[in-house]
Amino acid sequence: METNSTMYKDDRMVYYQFVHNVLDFSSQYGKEHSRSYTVSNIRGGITNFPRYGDFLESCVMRTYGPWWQECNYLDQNIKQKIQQPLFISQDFIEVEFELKCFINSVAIYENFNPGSIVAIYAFDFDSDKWVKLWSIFEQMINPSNSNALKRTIPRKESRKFMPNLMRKDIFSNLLRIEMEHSQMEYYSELDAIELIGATYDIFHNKKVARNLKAIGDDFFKKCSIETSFLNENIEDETRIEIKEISKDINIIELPDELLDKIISFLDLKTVFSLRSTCIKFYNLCNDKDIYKNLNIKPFWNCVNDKFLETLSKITDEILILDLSWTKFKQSIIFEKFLKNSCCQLTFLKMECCSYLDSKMLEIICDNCKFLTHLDIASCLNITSEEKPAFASISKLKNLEHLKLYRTKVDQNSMFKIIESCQNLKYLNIGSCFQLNDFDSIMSCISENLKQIESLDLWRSYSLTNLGLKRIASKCKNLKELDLGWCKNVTSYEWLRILLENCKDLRKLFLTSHKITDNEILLIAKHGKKLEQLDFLGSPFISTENIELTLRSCPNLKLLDISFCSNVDFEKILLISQFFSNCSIKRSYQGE
Amino acid sequence: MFKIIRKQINAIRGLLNEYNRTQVLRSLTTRQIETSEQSQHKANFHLVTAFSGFSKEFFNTNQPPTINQKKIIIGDDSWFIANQKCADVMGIADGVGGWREMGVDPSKFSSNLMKQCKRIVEQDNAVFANCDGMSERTPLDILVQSYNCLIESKDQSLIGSSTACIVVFNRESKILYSANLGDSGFVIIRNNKIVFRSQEQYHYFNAPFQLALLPNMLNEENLFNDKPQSASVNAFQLLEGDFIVMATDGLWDNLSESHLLLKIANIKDCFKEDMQQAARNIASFAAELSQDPDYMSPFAISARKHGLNFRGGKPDDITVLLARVSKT
Repeated sequence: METNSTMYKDDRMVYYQFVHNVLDFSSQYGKEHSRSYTVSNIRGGITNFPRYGDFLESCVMRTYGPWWQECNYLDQNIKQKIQQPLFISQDFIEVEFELKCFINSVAIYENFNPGSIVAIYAFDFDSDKWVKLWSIFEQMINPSNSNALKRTIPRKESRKFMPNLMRKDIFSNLLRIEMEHSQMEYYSELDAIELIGATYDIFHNKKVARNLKAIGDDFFKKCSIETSFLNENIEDETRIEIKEISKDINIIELPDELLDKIISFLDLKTVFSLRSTCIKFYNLCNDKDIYKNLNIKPFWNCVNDKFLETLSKITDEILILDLSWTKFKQSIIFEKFLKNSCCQLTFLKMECCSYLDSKMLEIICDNCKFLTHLDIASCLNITSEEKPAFASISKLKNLEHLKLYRTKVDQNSMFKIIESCQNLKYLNIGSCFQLNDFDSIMSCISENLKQIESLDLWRSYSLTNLGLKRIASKCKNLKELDLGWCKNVTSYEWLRILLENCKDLRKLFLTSHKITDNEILLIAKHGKKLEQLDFLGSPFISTENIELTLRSCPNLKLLDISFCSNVDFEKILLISQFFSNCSIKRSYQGE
Repeated sequence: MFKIIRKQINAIRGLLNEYNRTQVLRSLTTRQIETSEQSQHKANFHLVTAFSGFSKEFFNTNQPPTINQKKIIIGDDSWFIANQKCADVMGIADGVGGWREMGVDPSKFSSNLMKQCKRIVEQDNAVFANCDGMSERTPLDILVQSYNCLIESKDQSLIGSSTACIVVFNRESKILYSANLGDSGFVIIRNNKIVFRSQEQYHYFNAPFQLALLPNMLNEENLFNDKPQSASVNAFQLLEGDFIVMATDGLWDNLSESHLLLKIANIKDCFKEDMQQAARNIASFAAELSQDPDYMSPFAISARKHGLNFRGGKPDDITVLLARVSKT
């Protein structure tokens, strides 16, 4: 009776389902709670596929290409003493389907710049873990991070992406898609995700299933015997291997320096396995030096509270820590870890950590006095309802880099932070939907943070000319300014002041500002050092002035003139041959 | 070894699962039968819908009336019907024709608005797949969100303005929630009487409230730009057998209430085909009247009240959505 197109089944009892609900995601292009260019658009069936183009009905992440990493302050390269594992993901989406089934295949409908998907996980309810179904590394002969980053990007046409899954025995309705888009020419966009599977495991075990009764009790007996038997076997095998090596030289007899070197070729997971083999390695792997710079993000699905507990016993001087995407459960253990191991921290990244709440943030701010970098983007469980948790960030006087993208930071806390963290050079308060008076925040910044170099004000809808004028006249060190989708900026007096004052300006994003030729001329006249420019959605600017900008800004690397309907792109293409350093972007809505 | 064991476990689990599902399904169906026998109000309802439309161009070009359910643009009008688990949603929008003089296709804005509405309904499972998820504000939310979608589009070349009317039918409680902005609207007919009529909103005679996307360059005073929030919002309890007639001003300006009631009274059965036939009858009758120079149309009567000497029908695009509350 239902005409619901989001789920149907064929005669083999195979269900074809589209996304029912979005559980979590790391970033999005659109405005929070909106339906344009947001992750929530992944829900439901196909909207535009197979049409190819930049549609507002698609699911779009916040960034693409190398442009955001190139910014000076965005990402301090975490150089670990131990090897990085195979992991390149930058963004993720977690989605829920209506019906649990044995996942046989997953189809992802990509309708703009395909090729960004690098891993697919499913939540296994038995082991209470996210299990990898597919990743870009499976199909590579020589899997390595650099090879994965250099992968061939598919042709620019819409595609239904159906990778061969490694495992088809997972019974679940939760999927996680991970993306990497540093090679992408432009934003990659998804239309829908389809989950294909049966409620029973017909693809593998039809015969076994038929004989269910015969297997019955017998099976359970076998099960208990054989598993214990297997465990013994494994231990034996490993022992034998070590003995074989010891015929020539016992690895344990190697000098510690050499062993240290060997350990540095392992990744964190292997180091922890090695640590549990013998006393010698246990001691070697308990070296605090190994854990000074820790990137736990690649292990988000294998670390648990136990790991954190162990880590807090091993080391008390972690300096750089990336805990993004992790899903620790017990706040007591995390609290203990913070108090034991994180007192020396200078760099903390915790993107999309749903366990990070108001109380935890306060503990971080009380314990980690030396923090210079703090990134808590997309941590939506920190609220300001009971007490202003974000205000405690103001205790971190050394802070230089603060990323609060897509958090619930409130107006008063923001004032406190700006007033007390006077060393701030990078501030990202994009998509902070609880901030409702950006003009007074801007005047506060212009009073207190005169040395600020990078400001990300993406989708700050309450920002007007007034606030920008203040910034432009006081903050002369500005290098990067992202004003994308600040829809209430309507006059551009401030632009002249900004360009005259900030001689070092490298990045200026005026996405969807509907600027006119007057502004372009100003930019062409003053912005000699500009490297990244975004004029998306300015229907009134002319081809000649784009050409003028290209000529007068010799350092220009990125120029986005998508949806500038008045610009003759054919002509721009011809001109662009003379500006090979500059990547000119122009997306379109397919017909 | 492990693999085999796992496979076996999965096989058993699969079978158990399928068994459980059939059990659940069985219990569900039996429960449904029980409830429908015991108490009428718990049974699920839905709307049987039909659509018909006449473009203003019809009489010039002899283009046949539109019954194609996939064509969502009728002249400057546009419409949608979306079905979700717990809701049936209908909407119409009438693009303001004045934009044609400026080289803008007025149907573009109205059809994009309706397209977004349809998508929002189909994607928002939290609201429309849950009988308790809907409230009086739901149609307004649809309108606000769909209008915001267009505002936040990268493509800023879309301009125009439009009236809009959206109704949401809750399949469990049979309540009809509505939001109406401008001079489109709907009536509810029960036992051949009009029991509810949506409110029209005008700035002045023949200048209805309208949603608009204006280019930055012109802020002329004679262009209206109303907020979606100013739509009139209502909730009405429906009964089985009630008819909903939803239409753009092309219908209301030409067809009198008595004519409409007559046409509705002629509907014998409530199958999709009968409804389709009725919708077509209503639309074509209104279209004929709109071309009659001597007919005292509701528009002419209203014009006279405003001191304007006007006679005959008002030629306009006519879009009609007809719906009947039926038991599932």
